[in-house]
Amino acid sequence: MSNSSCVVFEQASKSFGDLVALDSLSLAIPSGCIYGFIGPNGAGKTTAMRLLLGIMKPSSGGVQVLGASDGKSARSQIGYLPEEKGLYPRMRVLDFVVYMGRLNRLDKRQATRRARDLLDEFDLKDWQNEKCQSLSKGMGQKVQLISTLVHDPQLMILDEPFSGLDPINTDVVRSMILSRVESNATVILSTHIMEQAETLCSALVLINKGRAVLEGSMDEIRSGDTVYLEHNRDESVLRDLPGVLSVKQFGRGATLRIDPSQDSQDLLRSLMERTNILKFDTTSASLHEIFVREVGRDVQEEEAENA
Amino acid sequence: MPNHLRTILLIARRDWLESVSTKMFWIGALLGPILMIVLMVIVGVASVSTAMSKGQYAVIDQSDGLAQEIRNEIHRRDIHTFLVSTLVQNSESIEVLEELQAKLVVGGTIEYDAVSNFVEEVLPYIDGYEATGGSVHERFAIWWMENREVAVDLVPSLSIARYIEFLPGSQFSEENLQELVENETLIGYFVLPDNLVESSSEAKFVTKNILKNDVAAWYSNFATSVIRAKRVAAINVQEDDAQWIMQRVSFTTNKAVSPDDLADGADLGQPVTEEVTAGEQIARFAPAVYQYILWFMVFMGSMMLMTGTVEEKSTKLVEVLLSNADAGQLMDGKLLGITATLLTVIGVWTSFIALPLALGLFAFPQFSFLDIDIISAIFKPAYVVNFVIFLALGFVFFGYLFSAVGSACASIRDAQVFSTPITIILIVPVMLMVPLAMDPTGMLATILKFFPPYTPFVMMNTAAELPSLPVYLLILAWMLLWTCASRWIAARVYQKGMLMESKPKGFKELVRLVKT
Repeated sequence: MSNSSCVVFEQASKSFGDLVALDSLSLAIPSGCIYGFIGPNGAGKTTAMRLLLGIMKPSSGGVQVLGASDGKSARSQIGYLPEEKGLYPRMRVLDFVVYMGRLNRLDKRQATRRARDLLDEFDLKDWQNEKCQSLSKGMGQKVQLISTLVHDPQLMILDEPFSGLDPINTDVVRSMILSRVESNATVILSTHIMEQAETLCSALVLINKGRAVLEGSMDEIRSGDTVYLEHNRDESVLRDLPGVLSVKQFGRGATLRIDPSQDSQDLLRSLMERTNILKFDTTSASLHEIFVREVGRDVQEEEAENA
Repeated sequence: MPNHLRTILLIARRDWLESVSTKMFWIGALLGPILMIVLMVIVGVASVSTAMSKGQYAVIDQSDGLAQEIRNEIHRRDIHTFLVSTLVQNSESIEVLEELQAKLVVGGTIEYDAVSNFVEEVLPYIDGYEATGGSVHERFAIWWMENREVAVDLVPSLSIARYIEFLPGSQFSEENLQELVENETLIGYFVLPDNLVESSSEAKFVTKNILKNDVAAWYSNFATSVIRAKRVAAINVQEDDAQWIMQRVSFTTNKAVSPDDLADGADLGQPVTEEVTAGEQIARFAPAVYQYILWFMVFMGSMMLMTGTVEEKSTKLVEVLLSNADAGQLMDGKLLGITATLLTVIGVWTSFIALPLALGLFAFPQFSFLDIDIISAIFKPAYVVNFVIFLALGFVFFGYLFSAVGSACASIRDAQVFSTPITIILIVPVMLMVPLAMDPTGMLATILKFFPPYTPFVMMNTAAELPSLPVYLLILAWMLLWTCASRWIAARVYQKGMLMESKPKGFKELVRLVKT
């Protein structure tokens, strides 16, 4: 693990019987950034997060978290907000947050002080003595977010933190995420809202069918350094192209990462000598487009295989 | 405090507080035993009142006056009982009783022979001759015949309190009596054949309710007494001789006394035995009380644990909890929380019911229904220590298994289905309670002591004959090993089960959860 990496997945795989939920995932998440986990439903994002948290053990490979060999060992430095959010209905709001803080090794006094401060910060001070069951959905979600923050974790894992929030509370949560990063914490954000990921994340991984389809900084993923093309020959014609750093072939389509110094027109000429180019796209795509393109291509391939 | 233990205690404390901070908990804890006692009283009273008949019966006498002799025998017993019960304490200030007190009570003590003689002299006036009130016998007979309800109020155990003979006139045939039985005017009627002294094979009792035989049994006692006297007289044997001949031979149960237990200076020349006391006999069965408590705690606790686990899944918080604690810690914490809740219930019962009851009995010993021997038999130190050890192990062993089942199920109904095999296992110790208590060192008890699901129950039930210390420690170690195994298996299922959104497809999948 490099010194600047907060989390490292090393060929981490997880299977449930015959189902491969995560397939040899390798990535390094830098410290102090907002890192996105995006992908369609059932892609393996939650499994990856559970491996990271130590709730599950990988079938093979490993996950290093905050310098520890697994998430369990770094438990008290992680804050986790799962996609399925819940509270103890009969517990008072303040008691719930204090309880979560104490589970994360704060003593009672520290936990109570932090809980009161955060409830005040999130405009929930007047609700601290109410039972959780009396909260609205949005307020409940904020309480759970507060319980994720109460022990001031170095790493936060937020699974769909904006779901069910109104625009005002969405901004509150965004501000909180940004302030955490300013304090040098790392935030792993899983979301289906591409616009949120695009504006918040500095790097991300797109997971589909248990594999990392795209991984890198937001600039790399969206920049013109990536060329998307479609042609009518096999993958071998894309080998050893000048200025091409990597190639990912998906049926007729392929994504090429090119050296920034490489002239895309030279590349097009080289390609035309080898194959018939049907499409050649160097424009900077939105994350939404990239998501649809990458995930949609997999769906097309699967349909073609089935046919 | 180690973090591992701190986490378990935090989870336990939260679960305990959540349980005991509701009004329903306190209402249930306080009213539960009261309702249970009330229900037991109602059931007891109902079962007694429905088991015993009350009403009229008739007698068809085909013999030579046996019915009248039996009737006299009944009067004899009732009057004797009445006099013995009321002579000393004539609470109603009945005039004739005051007269009898002067005659039959000397220095505050009843003269039983005089009472018996008085009864014999009264009998002719009861159903036979006209009483004029000239003598005390006649005055008592008149009072007795006219004040039966007062007599029953004073002495409810009199047989006339339940059964009154219906005396049909000569115009009544057996068909008429059958009609009265059919329309429930009569409980039934007896037929005394002419040869009843020789044989009772033709004697019969005709009734509508064929399951209630209390009247027949009651009447049979008096008839037997009369017939037996006639049979004894027929063979010219004195009454006392006859009673001596009929006396049963009985052996008193003794136990061997070890020479070590004899007082200093006692004669060691021959084996010494001691008669077994009632307290010692009760002590044999006293461990059953503990087994009931264990069973109650295991059954109630496990069910609470299982449903609590299913509810925990439904709060969707479990993923957060599992990111803060191991599955084993979460499971241990919940188990400890339920244990604390159950101990609170027991504490409430003890403080608000058992303790006042015990103090009340101490203050008013005349109302005490528990002998000191029985109490000391139940609370023998060996029993208590054995109880605490195996209560803890049994509760934890089954608690883990039920937790695992609860974790793998999405609804209470699924959990009930999947826990059925464990529930069936739990029923067996109750069924075996009596045979094991009767033979605590037998083969069945010995085998079951080493069969982990039953070890705690059998060790408790057979505590009257605890094994030698090395064997006891072996059984304890064996049970500890299995309790650890139960935790290991349960934790593996719990870890995956708590994150499952659907119920397992079957027991094979539960096994797969353990393996993977």
